[in-house]
Amino acid sequence: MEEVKISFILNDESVSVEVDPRKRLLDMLREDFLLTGVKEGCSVGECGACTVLIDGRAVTSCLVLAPQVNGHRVTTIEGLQKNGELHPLQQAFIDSGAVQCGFCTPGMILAAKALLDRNPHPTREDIKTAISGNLCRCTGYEKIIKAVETAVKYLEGKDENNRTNDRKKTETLKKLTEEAISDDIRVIGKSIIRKDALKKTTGEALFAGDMRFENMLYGKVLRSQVPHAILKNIDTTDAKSLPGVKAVLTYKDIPGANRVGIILKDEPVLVDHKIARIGDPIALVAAETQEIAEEALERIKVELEELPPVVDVKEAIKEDSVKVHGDTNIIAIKNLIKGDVEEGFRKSDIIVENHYKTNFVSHMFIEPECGIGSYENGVITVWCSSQNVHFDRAEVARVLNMPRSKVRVIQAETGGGFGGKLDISTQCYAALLAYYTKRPVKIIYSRVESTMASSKRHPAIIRCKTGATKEGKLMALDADMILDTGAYASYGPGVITRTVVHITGPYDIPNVKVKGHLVYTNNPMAGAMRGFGVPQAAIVHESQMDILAKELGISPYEIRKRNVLKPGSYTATNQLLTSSVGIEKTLDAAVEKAKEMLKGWEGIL
Amino acid sequence: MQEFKYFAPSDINQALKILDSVKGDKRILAGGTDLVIAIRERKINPEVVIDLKNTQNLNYIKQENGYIKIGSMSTFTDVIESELIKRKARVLHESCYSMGSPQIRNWATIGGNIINASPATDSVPALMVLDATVKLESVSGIREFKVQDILKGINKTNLNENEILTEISFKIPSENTVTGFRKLGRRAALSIARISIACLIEVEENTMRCRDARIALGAVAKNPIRATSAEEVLIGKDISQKLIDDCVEVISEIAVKNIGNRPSLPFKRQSIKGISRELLNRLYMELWSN
Repeated sequence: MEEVKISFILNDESVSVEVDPRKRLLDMLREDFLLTGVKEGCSVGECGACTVLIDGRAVTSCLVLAPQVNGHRVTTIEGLQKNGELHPLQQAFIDSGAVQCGFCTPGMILAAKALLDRNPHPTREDIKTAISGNLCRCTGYEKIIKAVETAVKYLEGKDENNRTNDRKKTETLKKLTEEAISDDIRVIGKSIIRKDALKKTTGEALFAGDMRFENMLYGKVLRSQVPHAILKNIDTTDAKSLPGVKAVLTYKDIPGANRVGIILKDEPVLVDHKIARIGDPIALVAAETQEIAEEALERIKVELEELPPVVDVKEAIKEDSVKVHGDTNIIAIKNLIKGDVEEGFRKSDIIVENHYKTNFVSHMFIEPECGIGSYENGVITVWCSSQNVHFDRAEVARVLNMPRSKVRVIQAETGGGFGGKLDISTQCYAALLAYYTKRPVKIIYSRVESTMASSKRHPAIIRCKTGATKEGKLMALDADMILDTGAYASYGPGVITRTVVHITGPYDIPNVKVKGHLVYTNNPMAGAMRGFGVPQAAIVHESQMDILAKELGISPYEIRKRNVLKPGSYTATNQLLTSSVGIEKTLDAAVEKAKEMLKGWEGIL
Repeated sequence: MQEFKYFAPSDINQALKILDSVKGDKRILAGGTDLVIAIRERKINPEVVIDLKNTQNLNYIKQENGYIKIGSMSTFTDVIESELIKRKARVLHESCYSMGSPQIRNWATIGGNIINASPATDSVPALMVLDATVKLESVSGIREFKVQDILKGINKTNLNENEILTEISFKIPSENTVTGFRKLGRRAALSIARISIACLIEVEENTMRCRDARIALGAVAKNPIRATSAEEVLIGKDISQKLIDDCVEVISEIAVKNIGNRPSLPFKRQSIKGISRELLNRLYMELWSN
């Protein structure tokens, strides 16, 4: 490819480079200038993690071709510190607790800088607009907005706590963040600074994708495009013959176990017999560059016998349904029985019964999964974006048939997880490819691949029948539910238990009968996600309460007030609660807050 | 990604010469916020890319002989920040402000938005109610069209292979005119229009009598459309709440007819009424207070 010579100003220095015009500004900054504070989250301009400033304007560098910045001024997060001093925005992000996983932080700070450079006294609305192109999945934005407001004060020289003065120098700050946790371990009731906040605001924090090793290869995964099929044959000859390809692996190359999973070992590392979902892994490639690895994937020939998929849980539980694994799709049936529901309904003056359906929800952590494997002196090391390194280590050891003492898994900075990085992602692949090539191998998922392969929130179908007296006292609840765990169990057996036991909500119900089914389908895998089965139950019990209140002609608050669990109540699982039952206080506080927020609308409460 | 030849011409004449002389699948790179993704995802495989980002004299917004003229490489941010456009063509200000995110508005261009010919384009419905003209230049000369006349389906235009869109212009609406844009997306920021409406109403001086009305709808057909029969409801009559209600019904009928039998129809049938009513009521209030 004919390179193009360009000159531009990068973080206040003139630079000239020859660049492949196909390269995006993002790639040039990360690869050629090692400015890895510029993050890649979505590759399509949606998430804002790759934001840089071009002539002072925020731009997503994934949408800019490198040569387009010829003659312009480019600023990255690495260019914000001046003479070792943090930019007030960087300080404010640290001081306001606006830094969590840190993956969105550089883009967020730059978007805010573009605002403050033009408008030093922004309104809250101005701030919200300025960061509207930057997604954050951790903070809920409140702290970030506060950080920008704090930065405005710092820039004005107003600093009530006089915190900036002793914190001006980066070095001082480094010391402070270290002291914050080492000095005094008693932290309850204290505002402490995150240990890693500093390096996350300067762009120095290394996420797995930012790590580089000598002699590093790039790994890619060939994934199924169909949801259900028998694997007949894989021919890797053509892929192996491509120059630059160092390994092409299939299930035959796995030295140890070919099934992983947190509760049930049902997920193949590489498909050996059956494809159970779109995105199932079929083969691995390691090559000198990403592009060669991608081309090699296209050269792998896969013969499949497609099967009809089962995608509806109601179909999946039928005896004669298509089976995903083995001879039944039902992984678990959970029963919860307390008292006598029939008796409870007889004593009820009103009974409401409804059907509810919830959907798949993706965690959408801003950092797609990434892992780097290396194999040196008989030891496998994996650096990865993960929430579960000890589990990862055990699985990598099983898959490679190596003792755990020969496997190290190191969690790199992890750009959000929310339960979605508890399952195995890149770890076994990176380890296998390193094992065979004896070179470090990096695997980065694209956003599409991440969304395809990662777990989701379990969709639920729930029928719920609730009975109450005319005074609004709950008497009985009868529910059944089916949770769709997709192609693999993941955390499903734990999730179904939680949905079953939480279906009564924070309410005292003397008679309860609940039945839950967890089933396989050829849908995406469902696993752990924030709330872990409980949000599915919450939509049901709270809707039932509102409907009952309406039928009984009492307020939604009143019906809850009459039924909340208190010390002395028994839960659905017959646990006697003796202390610390916070729901009533929470409910009252929520109503007070709502009254404050809904001035003039108090009637709806 | 396929290799391509990259050119960054310094002026429009050089750009036109290159475009005319090179062979193969050639693409003009304006902001690139759509094109760069399409190339990376191999939806298109250009052999030649001509980048206009640093080409001189294509980025301007000016007033000339009663017209507003916009260089095709003006970014959405340039348009939004133009006091001239905010004052004289609010519909264009609002539609450009609703597009993408600050990052995308800072880099994407109005010319690129037109030529990309997306059904959900934000700028085109606004330009249609302003009755905007586009200027297409090539080595063989200049052609001019109404903006909607160059759009020929999804991602299709009638531009010749050697033509570049260089300027968008429209007559400055009279003082008795109100304009506006509303769109419904899946969320407030960074959303692609599910449905959008642009509207211009001109009244006789010191009356509520509608002299001219133009309404355009986005994301209901392959390209934005003018809702002529809805315009006719207003033209020649005194604008009133009743008239607006009638107009909203006609707009909804037009949208339904154009959308055809799609899963989104029940949603769009109602939601177009919501955003139309919001917009028309606002314009009605503005006419009152003028």
